[in-house]
Amino acid sequence: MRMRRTAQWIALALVVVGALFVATRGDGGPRSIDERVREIASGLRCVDCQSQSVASSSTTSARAFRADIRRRVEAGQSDGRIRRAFVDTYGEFILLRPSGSGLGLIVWGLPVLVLVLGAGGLILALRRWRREPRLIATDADEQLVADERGTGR
Amino acid sequence: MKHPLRWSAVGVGVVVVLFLSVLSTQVGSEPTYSGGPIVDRNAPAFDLPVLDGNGVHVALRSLAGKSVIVNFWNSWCIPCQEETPALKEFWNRHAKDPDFALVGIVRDDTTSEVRAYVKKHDVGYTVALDPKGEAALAYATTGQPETYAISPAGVVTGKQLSRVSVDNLEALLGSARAG
Repeated sequence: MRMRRTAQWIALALVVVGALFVATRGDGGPRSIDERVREIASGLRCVDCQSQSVASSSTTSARAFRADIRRRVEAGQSDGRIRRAFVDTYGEFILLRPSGSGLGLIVWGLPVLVLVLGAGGLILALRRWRREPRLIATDADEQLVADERGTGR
Repeated sequence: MKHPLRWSAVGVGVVVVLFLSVLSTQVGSEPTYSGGPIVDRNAPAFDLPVLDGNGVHVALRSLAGKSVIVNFWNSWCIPCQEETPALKEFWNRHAKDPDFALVGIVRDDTTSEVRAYVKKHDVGYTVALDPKGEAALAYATTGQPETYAISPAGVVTGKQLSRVSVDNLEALLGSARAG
């Protein structure tokens, strides 16, 4: 019984991990230079427009950004290195998506914490409910129900 | 733990309130920008065509050993127009100083508009074009006017991301000379 339950949990974990892997993997295959430029540009703030990314703006500065990203991609730099180069020049301001530190850590971390706390509480509650014995009706209980239904024994 | 679900709900509630508090201080406000961390770093190189220079370029490396003021501007920006008299006065004060250079780099404008503006306002210092925005990108500009001071050793010693006065320019030049 215990082995079977463990196997069920392992199977569930495998399904979850597999689903996460498929969801985060994208469509697979190597990305083209254009795709990489677009992806990096979409995460950078257009510096002279409001709340737009470098990818979606047509200002001179956005075009300069895209040209610089393309030059770096063609030079063989990784996506992370290119983003770091812009952060080094402009500071964290340039990132549209929060990074994994400072305020970004809170923005990314708190939802995960909520999920962990919720799941933890649920698991504890389920285990607790499972340990509690099922109530068995006594003869007196049976009699009470029978009396109410008019089928007294 | 006697009531795990209750404790879990309390925990989730606390975290959600914390999260919403953080978001409420951020949502709806564009992050303020005070310029990239360029001061005290080596000045980004540039090599740009001079307005009506018949192919002549101005490059930062050719200005090595001089105190350089770089002003990003264009003809249609109102603060740029407002600071033009200050830049001209400042230039007239120091034009004969062999250890000084003032370069106006055009940001986001057409050559014809810039040419007309320079002629109308009798701008005497070097005006360089940056059609691809490469210099503006290298200096982490987010608009115009923006003014940078560069020491004779090629280090950025100061910046101002708004309209400059003659006093501002003198202070920037002082920082370049001291740097």
